[in-house]
Amino acid sequence: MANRKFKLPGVEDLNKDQDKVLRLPKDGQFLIVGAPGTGKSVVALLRMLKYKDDSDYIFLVYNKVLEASTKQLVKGGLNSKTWMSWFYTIIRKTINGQVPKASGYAPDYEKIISLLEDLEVEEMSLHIIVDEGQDMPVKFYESLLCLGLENFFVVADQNQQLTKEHSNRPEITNALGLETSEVIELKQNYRNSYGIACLSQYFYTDPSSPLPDLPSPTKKSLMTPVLYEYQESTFNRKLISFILKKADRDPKWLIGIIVPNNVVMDKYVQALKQVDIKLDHPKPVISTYKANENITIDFSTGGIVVLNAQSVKGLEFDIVFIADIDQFRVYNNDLDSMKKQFYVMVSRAMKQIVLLKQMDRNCSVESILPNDETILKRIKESHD
Amino acid sequence: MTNLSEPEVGQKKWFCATNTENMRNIIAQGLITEPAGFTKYYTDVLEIHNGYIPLFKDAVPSDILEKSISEVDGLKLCIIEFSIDNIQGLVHAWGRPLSDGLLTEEQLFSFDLKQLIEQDVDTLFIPTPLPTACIKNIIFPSKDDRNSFEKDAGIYSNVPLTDLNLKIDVKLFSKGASAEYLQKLRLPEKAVISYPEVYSFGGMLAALFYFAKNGVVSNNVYHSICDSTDMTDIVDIDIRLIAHYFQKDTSLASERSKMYHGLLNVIVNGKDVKENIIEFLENLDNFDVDKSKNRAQQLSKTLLKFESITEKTASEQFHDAKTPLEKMLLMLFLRESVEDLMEYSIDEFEELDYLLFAMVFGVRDKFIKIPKFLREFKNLQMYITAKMAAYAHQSKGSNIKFSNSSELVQPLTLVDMFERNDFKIWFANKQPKINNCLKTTIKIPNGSYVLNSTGSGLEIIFDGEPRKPKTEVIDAVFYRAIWTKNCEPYNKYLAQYNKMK
Repeated sequence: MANRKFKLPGVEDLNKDQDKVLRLPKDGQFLIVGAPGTGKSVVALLRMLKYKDDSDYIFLVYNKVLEASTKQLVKGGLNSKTWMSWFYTIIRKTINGQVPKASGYAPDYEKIISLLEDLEVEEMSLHIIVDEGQDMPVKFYESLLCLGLENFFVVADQNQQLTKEHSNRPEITNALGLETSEVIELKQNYRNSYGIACLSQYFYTDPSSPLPDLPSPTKKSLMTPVLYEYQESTFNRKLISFILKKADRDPKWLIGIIVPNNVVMDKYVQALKQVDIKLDHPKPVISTYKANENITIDFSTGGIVVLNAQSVKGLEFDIVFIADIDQFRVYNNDLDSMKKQFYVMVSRAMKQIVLLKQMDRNCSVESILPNDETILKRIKESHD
Repeated sequence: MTNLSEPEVGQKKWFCATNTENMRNIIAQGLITEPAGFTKYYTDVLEIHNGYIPLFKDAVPSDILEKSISEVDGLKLCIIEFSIDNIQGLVHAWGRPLSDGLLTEEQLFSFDLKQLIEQDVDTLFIPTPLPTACIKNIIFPSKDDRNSFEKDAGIYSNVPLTDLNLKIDVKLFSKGASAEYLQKLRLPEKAVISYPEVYSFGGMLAALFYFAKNGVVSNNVYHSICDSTDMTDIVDIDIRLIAHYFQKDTSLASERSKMYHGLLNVIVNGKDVKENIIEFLENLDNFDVDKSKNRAQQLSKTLLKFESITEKTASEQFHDAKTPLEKMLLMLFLRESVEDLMEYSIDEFEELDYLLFAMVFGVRDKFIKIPKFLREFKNLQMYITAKMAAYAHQSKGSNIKFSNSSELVQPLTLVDMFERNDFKIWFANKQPKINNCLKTTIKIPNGSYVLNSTGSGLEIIFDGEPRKPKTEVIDAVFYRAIWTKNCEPYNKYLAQYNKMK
């Protein structure tokens, strides 16, 4: 299997804003904001690599999939945890007892803050780097301050809020008491090709912040995003063969198939494992993850990963297929939430994005898709 | 006027200042250039006289130090000490020139650098670019600054500090004289250099150096291009057409050469190379005759199909390719970097295919994107940066040249080392071993012999003593194995070669 790893950037790959972030001092509180693909997570990882040997550091991520991906791609003992499990551990240790809960697994931040204030904990030298910081509630940050933490480096994009208890830029700024110079905005999109960036921008919903900059356009767009309607009868022979051959082009590529539900997930996984065609390289590894299962995906090798929409946050793939979009459901006519979900899914792709729809099916997300063929090209599979 | 009685040449040191951001960029790109040669530039002394690098004698004026960190907060200073012994040619200077055996008033003047010993110079203005091979030391004001620069280099893919000396000298950073005169000087305007072309040339040389391992033809092409010798040595026309692009040879004005020239222009200067190639092929004004127009259209269709629809596997597509040019373009669409190319092989490829790919991938990636491990090959990056600088000066008609010195040793390619048969045999036996490529002849005296089978093979018993066995390498088998062999441990191979010498 071909190995993948976190690729260090070249000097020329970073712009002056990113340089500025990397020059920030080791101690202090900083917020880095930017749209997907602007390199927020990259600068966070570089900061970690830069300081990890001479400071006590923890890299907090949103979910287990992202934790696995980060740990596997960055070699050399990255101290990374999911934010919630880390939070529970440190609070339990500090208060020497059970962590108060509000509902379900959610902590009762008010009670936690009150307990910590009573304890008058001493300052901690720990440096915290938070990825996807918009998905943690503002009370989480307030709790950390009560824990005596002083060194924060938070990267966030409020247009990617997928959780109910999220925080926005002014809230994080106020909670951490940041000066203007301690908030840096990254604007340039490095991850997505022009076509992908145009499509993801179509799903942008945040009225309070400007649209992220697009990569420079090209006269000839080779990879215009595609909405491909396939026939169920030729699913294995055509569509699945197409995906396998695409993956075969470069065994280092990580192909993401993002699915709306577990039924669709099983359908794709089964077909990808079953179909046997002639390829240049050994058949790509097909892996998947469902909530509450152990993560068996190896992000350090190429292959095809089938994941649901909630698990892909923060990840990036060479090519993304959003499978069976006709199966995504819009609840309470909340098109904004669906747009946010598509914004996150589309912006995971670096080189190519293909939306898949089963032919002749009703599609409730159709109304949020662009009709402009220069943004989303529509292709119907031909009948044999 | 002063009498020229006390030459102080021995003590002269030449310095220039910049910030650590620019310094990293200089190391990554391999050249010290005017601002236009940087992919990302922060204000410093290089923008005062476009096309010249001011070198200050013994100390950098304080206003120049300040300018180096003036663009944004948080920039850090460093000073470059230059080694100018291997630079030859006409330079400008601020100081007191020698006239009739006497030194005159301070003024701007020009002279051949080999006469430096006779002049009293405060500031030298050397035409850009200079290679990183001319950097003697990079100097920092404190240990913390030096350590932090070293550490930061590790978070980039293209800042290898190999062959560079990092030093500390706080005194050099103390406030001193200013260089107000610098702004007032009027230096002659310099011809514009096409830096993308210069960096492409460097990228091509580096890629060629690596792929020179593939055989004698590849090795000869590498040396011919390095030495700028007569390209008629290069038999393969496709390879020769790429080499000619950098030789500025317009004598081959065939339709094929125009196709290569146009494509190379796009690959050298384009930002989105794939899109730019398609644009070029689809613009029929780029071609004179119908046959070329049709061919270009066909190529464009093939590439578009290859990129979007995946009906064939890559090897099937290469199998169907009609010409080396088509294969080359397909490979440019298939793999994104020289590093990826090094890992790609299919049985169908021959030495010339890899050679063609190596050249064009080096051209596309340029020196800045050459894999770090390759730049860490002993003497390689210093040698190539000097070649790039020489190419830039030659292409703009400057008379600046770089002579060979201890810092500019031409690195040996693997095939150069294979000239020693014992090294070649050692290499064939090195893990992972190249199987079936060695043939040994043992000449035994006339007479009868006995052949016994033993646990570990066969033994032959005869009367008398054989001549020394002769082991040869079967090149066809040996090199075919090397085409797909990773030669990253070059420095270890070189150490072994030197041990055997």
